[in-house]
Order: sequence, then structure tokens, then C-alpha cells
Amino acid sequence: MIITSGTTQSNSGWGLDRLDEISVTLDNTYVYTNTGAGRKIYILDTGLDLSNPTVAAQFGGRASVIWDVNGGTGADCNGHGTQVSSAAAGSTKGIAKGATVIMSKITSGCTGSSSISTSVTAFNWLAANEAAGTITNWSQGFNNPGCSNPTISTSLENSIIAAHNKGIIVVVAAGNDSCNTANYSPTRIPQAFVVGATNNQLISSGKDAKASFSRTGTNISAFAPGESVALLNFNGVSVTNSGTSFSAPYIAGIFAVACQAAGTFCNTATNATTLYDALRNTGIIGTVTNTNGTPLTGATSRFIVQQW
Amino acid sequence: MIKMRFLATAMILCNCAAITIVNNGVAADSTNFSNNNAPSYENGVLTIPRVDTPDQVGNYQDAVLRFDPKLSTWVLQQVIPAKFNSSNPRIKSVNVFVINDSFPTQVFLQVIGDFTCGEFGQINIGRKENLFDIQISVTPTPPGQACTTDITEFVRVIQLDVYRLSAGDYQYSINGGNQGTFTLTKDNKFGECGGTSNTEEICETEVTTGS
Repeated sequence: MIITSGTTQSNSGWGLDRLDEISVTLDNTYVYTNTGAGRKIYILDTGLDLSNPTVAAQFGGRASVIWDVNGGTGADCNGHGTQVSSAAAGSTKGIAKGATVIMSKITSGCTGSSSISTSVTAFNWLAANEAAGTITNWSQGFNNPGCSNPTISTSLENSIIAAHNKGIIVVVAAGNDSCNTANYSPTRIPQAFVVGATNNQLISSGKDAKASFSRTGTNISAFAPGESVALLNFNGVSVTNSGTSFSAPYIAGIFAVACQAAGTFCNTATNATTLYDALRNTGIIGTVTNTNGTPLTGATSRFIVQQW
Repeated sequence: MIKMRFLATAMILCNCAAITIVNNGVAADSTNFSNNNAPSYENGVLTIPRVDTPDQVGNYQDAVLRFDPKLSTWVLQQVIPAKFNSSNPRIKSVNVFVINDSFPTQVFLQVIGDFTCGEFGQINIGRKENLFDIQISVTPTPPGQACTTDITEFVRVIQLDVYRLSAGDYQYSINGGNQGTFTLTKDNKFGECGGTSNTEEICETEVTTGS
């Protein structure tokens, strides 16, 4: 463990627990110094029901809904948005326990589906209206019939590039079909910080095994826990769930914590790319393996650790 | 709505080989025709939920054709390709249950797996001789749509239509893989006779006719 004088959260769940350790080990605690206070994390997802007292308490007045593509209140009736938000900044489930969470409900009704044009609108809005150093999480993707027919959306990529050029930190989920991130939008562009998923199956052997579903490829910026991790559901009930959907917000939270620790460094648009590289360079090399524990193939074995 | 039954009807929808339109049972001439997956016709539009090809059960789904009276032919409006996808859904395990303590024998497959990004789609079953070919599909994301990247686990119990099958070893294959076998220890049918369908024997029972 690298943070020795911070606040200790016991019974944190294996995801948070693993994220504060330099070595591949678990001690059932998450120790942190910074909380991401003063940083904003936009979650583009299925909503957040702040009228639920347990959900509201998880964010302690730090969360709000800025937009609902359906014209509603942005309440979450799917679960995904609440779970992602809790991983990023929940007081018991998340990394950045002091960050501001801003939900933009981009999905249709209670489904997990959204129009790409809605995400484009959201990223373009962020580029036009938010300050450098603002963090955005996009745990969305595309369902393709096999790895040979990847979806490409240049409009989505252009909107992410526009946001990134304004200094917005864009964290995206790698995807769950085991395919190569280099062939998909937006995981193929360097302006997106692409996060793959690990599990805890081989931690006792000192390895962060790649979750079998996680997309791979050298476009993955880093790996983080994403299989059977502890989250908060839309109805206020604790759940475990899996997917790169939940690896990404852990990293979004780490960006918030790192930016708090870095003072004003993140607030300059030109520093966004530098920040991506800086966070990558803090990743622990060599711990992530293939699912069966053999040396990782097809991607950089880099596990991001919360060091601030 | 007029329900239409297609019995091994061959149609040409695309550049693929001859295709067979079937219902949700084992084969087109199955007796347990399922309405929830049946072709239907309404107001000049023919909807075919499932289309098999020689190489894959359920290779095309939700085909919609409209009759063009000027051309005097059916025109394909839409069809969803549904090639087997080994990564979505993922099949984690299959448990075979052969229920032998009653007759006829029943066979069930309990399939455990997960999928991402989309909705659970059709389950289709075909049989070629001793091989049950099973498709479990995830509805693809429509063009221009994205979806959440979480994992949804599922358990489905699939009943195989083994009635009228002879004793012997049978195989199953799910989405082109996940293969296994089971055995029927005896011929799995009641005695039938007469008529022209599914019977080989002439009835010995005296048939009474009107005077």
C-alpha cells in the first residue's frame, strides 16, 4: 500500500481495495488521501434517481442531473447510470468521494440504448461549455456481430476530439466482446482514455487477470477492476456487477483525485494529453495477465493505481 | 391477422442459398407450431421472425416483406443478419437434463452465460439427423445506436423436441460450439398407425363406417 496516512475505508469491496495497492494484493480496505473535491465528473449514462434517499446519501449532495434526453428528470430506472456513478464517486462504492457528479441521461427511457447523436451532442456541449480539467465518463459501446464488423462513428470521434482539445478528460469503457479496441469507435482514438477490465481470480497468485469479456488491444490505456465489483443500484440496493462499464468510472474517479492533488495542472487545455500520459505512466506494468494467468498478449499490461 | 404456416417453404430473400422458413420448433413440419415465433401476414406485410439456411439455424431474423402488386412479387423491406457470435452472448456452461422417469422422455438444456450491449434475442433450434443446432442470439444494436457496456448474466432452460426420435446418441451445438451429447435409451414415441403423416404402420383396429 502506498498511501499510509490517509482515511481508511473498511470492507470496501475488492475493486476499491485493489486500486490502492501497488502490489497485487488485497487487504479489505481502501485507503485514500484525496477525494477529488473541487473536480467535476460528468457521467453520460442512464440517469440518477436522487429522490431515492440511499442514492442521494451515496453522493452527499455532490450529485445533480443536468440533462435528460427524454425530457424528464433524469431519474435512473435502468440501474447502469447509478452503478457507474457510484464507482466513480460514491461515498462507499467509489474512488472520488468528494467529487461533483453531474449526470446527463443520454439513454432512451429505461433502456440502456442511446442514439450516437445524443452522445455527440453531449460531448460537443462539454467542449463548448465546460472548463479544462472536467472529467467525463462514457460507459457505452456497440454490439457488433463478431469482431469482424466493427462500428465506426466519425461524428462521435470528432465530438470527443473537440472535447479533448478543450481539455476535457474523456474516459471510455473498452467494451465487453473481447475484440480489439483498435477497430472500434471511439476506443481507437488517442483522445479517449480507454479502460479494460480485470477480475480478482488470480490476485492470490499476484496477478491481475484480464476479465475474459474485456476488449483488448494496444489502444487500451489501462486496466482496472471490472468483474463482480461492488456498486450501488438505482433503487439504493448494493449490487455486484461486471463490465468495462465499471472499470472506466474507477479511472474517472482516479483522474479526479489526481487532478485535486495536482492543483491547477489539469485546468489547462493543452495539458489534457499530458495528463493522459502521466496517468498511464503511473500505471503498474506487468501485473495484468491473460485470463488464464499467462503473460498478457495484444495489449499493454498496465494497471492503474490510486496513488493520491 | 392471418397466421400463415410455411411447411419447408423455400424462398429466395437474398444472395444466399435456398433458405427454409421455420417455426420455433425443431423443424418446419413440427407439430408444436409456436405462435410467438410464427410468420404472420397483415395488410400486405409478411413478417418472418426466423429464417434458417443450410449452414445455420436462425441465420436471418425478423425479415419483413411487402407485396408489390405492380411487380407481382414480394419485396424484402428489412432483415437482420444473425450469424453465430462466439463472444456475445458467451456460453459459460450447459447442463443436460434427460428426464427418463416418465414417458415420453424429455430433454432439457440449462444454458448459463452472459451477454453485453443489447437485449436478449431469439432462441432457435434446428435438427439435422442426430445433431440439435441451437442458436441463442442477442439483438444487435440498431445502426446509429449505442448501448451500456455492462454484462448481463442469463440462465435459460431449452426444451429439445425429442418426441418421435429413435433410441440412440444425440449431439447438441450452441452457437456453432459448446457441444455435448445425450442418449435416448428407447424409442421415444407412442404407438401410432394409419394416415400418411409420421406413421409407418397400417392400423389393425377395425374401422367402423356408416351403413
